Amino acid sequence: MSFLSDLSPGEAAYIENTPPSGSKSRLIELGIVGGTKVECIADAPFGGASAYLIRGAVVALRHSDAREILVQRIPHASRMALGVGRARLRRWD
Amino acid sequence: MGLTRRLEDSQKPLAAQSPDETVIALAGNPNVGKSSLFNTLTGSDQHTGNWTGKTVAAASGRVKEKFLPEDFSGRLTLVDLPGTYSLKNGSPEEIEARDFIKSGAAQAVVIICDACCLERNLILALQILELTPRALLCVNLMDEARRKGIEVDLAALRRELKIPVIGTSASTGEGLSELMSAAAGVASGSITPPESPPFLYPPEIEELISGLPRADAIAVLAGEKPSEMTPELEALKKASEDSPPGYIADTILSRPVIAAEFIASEAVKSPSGGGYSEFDRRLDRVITNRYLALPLMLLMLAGVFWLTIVGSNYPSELLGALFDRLEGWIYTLCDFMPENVREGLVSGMLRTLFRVVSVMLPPMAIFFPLFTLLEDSGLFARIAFNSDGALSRCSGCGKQSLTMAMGLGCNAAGVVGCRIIDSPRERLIAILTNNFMPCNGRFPILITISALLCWGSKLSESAAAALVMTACIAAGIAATLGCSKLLGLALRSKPSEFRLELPPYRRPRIGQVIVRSILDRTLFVLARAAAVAAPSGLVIWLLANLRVGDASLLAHISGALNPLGAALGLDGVMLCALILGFPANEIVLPLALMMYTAGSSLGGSEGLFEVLTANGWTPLTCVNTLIMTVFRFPCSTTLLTIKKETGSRLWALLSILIPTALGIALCLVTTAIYKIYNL
Repeated sequence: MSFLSDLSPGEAAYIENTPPSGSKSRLIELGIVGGTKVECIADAPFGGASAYLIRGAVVALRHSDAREILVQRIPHASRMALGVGRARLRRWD
Repeated sequence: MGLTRRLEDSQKPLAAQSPDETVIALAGNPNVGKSSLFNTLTGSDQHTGNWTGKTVAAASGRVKEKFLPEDFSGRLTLVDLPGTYSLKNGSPEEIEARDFIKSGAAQAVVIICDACCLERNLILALQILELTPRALLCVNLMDEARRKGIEVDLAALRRELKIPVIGTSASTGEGLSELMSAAAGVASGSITPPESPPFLYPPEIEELISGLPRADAIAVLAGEKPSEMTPELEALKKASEDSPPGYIADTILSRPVIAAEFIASEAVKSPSGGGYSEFDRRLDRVITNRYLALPLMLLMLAGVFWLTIVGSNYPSELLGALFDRLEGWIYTLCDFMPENVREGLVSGMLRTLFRVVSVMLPPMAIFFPLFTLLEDSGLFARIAFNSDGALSRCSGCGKQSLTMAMGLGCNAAGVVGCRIIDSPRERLIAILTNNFMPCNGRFPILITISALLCWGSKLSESAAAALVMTACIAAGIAATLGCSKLLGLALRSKPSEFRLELPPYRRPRIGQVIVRSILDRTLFVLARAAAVAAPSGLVIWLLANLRVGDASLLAHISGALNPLGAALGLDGVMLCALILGFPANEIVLPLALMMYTAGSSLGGSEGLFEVLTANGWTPLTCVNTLIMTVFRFPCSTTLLTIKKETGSRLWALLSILIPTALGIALCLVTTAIYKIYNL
């Protein structure tokens, strides 16, 4: 189990659980409910936020908010083929 | 950027009802082309944009004749509701949209969806259908969806939602007449609204709410306030407290999401990734790249400024020459007036007005369309995303970078632009610090004084001047960040959550962009500036021409200001010009020149350098003038706008105090350094 904020660009996951707090409805209206598939598209270059593909739309969330959302990672073999995986590896070299 | 006439009109009732008038509301997510559709249908001037929350106060307009159904007599009025993701969160826009829909003031609600992102859009559509069945669905941007290989089955949507569904493309006009005739049909009742709710809740919840007014009962269970609390609803609230906390509310909130997912799976066939194409993905990877993001962003802004400055030079001169000739003619035409009235009106009022227009119009007519192009293409949302990291550390929000950039064009426009920032705290910070970005009214001073400072320098003069200019803007940015941080600490509330939609890249419609940005922003800002420039021109002329003793009033004032000016490393004249430039920043320099040459009206800027150096200008005077120009109280137009946007005199006052205090402090420091080292 990991948090939405842990995803790196190119990684996808299913939402497990949204926070019990008041920001919940704000997430729900973006379509973030249990079982929703999300994909991390990009990290903000100076940190703090990432962009996620959720139900066909790309939405940026701050890590402080994404840290409250539990997700189940999907192995990203399929996206590897498109070169996203390689791009990810390069980030740490 | 919302800088439209309707700002002033927002006090009026939304829709004046008369018997032959049918009111139709437009609702939908942000970024679905709602405002664009509204514009096309009504021909009203209202700006459309590619980022969230463009429409804050509802705008209304009459539908053009050619879109009206043939058998329709009377008038169709459209009300453009603010774009929201939901109706359940209690933000001002959501409350406005929800109350309007619930009030029944509109006979029909057109729910506008983006065909490229239908699933997410349907969530709001279902929420609206829960409030009113008198609705129809407009699937907009059909052309874009087709280009992306997305197929939307309108018949399936009709079957699932049981309301009229029309596919449209606002840019080509596809489906607009059908949309209006369906809307008129729903409004008149000739198309019967569905009788069953758009989707059902799990049985245990349906059981709880059966027999009660559905919308209110659901509101109660979701933890909202219903329009009226009846004993039955009170009982329902009690009954719901038996379940585990949050369970019912969660189920209710997430139900439309699941229903939307189901409907979209029936009606939409799209390639993987949906509206977010492989091209968008690649482009985003480059634009948000850690190493490329900053250079690309700076390059883009630098390009906009370069085009603005270079492109406006010649038209400004041309306009100036034209106005000079015009002034001559008017002067001769007015020969029936007494001599001093004629002088005051023509050489005082008219000349100042012409000066402001010829300096302001060309750069704005270039800057605003360029800006709008970037905005409509979707690039601005990426800039906001990229800069959020830096700005959030300073209690700001990524969108502030956009309002800052807008402030470089015009601070009044920048302040209004702050409406795109959701959180009240961060919006206030962005409004109060916007003035640190020198607007293009201040550019002439910065450019001229930078050039004077580098006059005869060993380096290439223009390169050195450009460097000084850049330093000025960098100082403005640093001040913005620093003050945002301090204000954030002072306001001491929690940072809001940040949600920013990165819309798919769109090819901007260049023709529309140019027309809209010139009509909406350029002329609006120009009109406001002209309205203050003309009377202040008269006042300044009076000051320069009313004599007390052996000198003009103006000379007395600048004389009186001399000690203060000297303490700040300036002189009385420059200080006086800076203060009198309150109505319009562009008159500061001509004003100073007029005082130095003891002229009685604003002249040209020939021989400016000689005049300034002859009047004892040192490098310190130049530097401090630059400082006082960047750290300057907002001009009258901006100040008015700040007061309007914050709704408080206190914040307006603070917006004067902060930059002025900073400017004075900095000037004192530079003066002290200059004196100590005896430069």
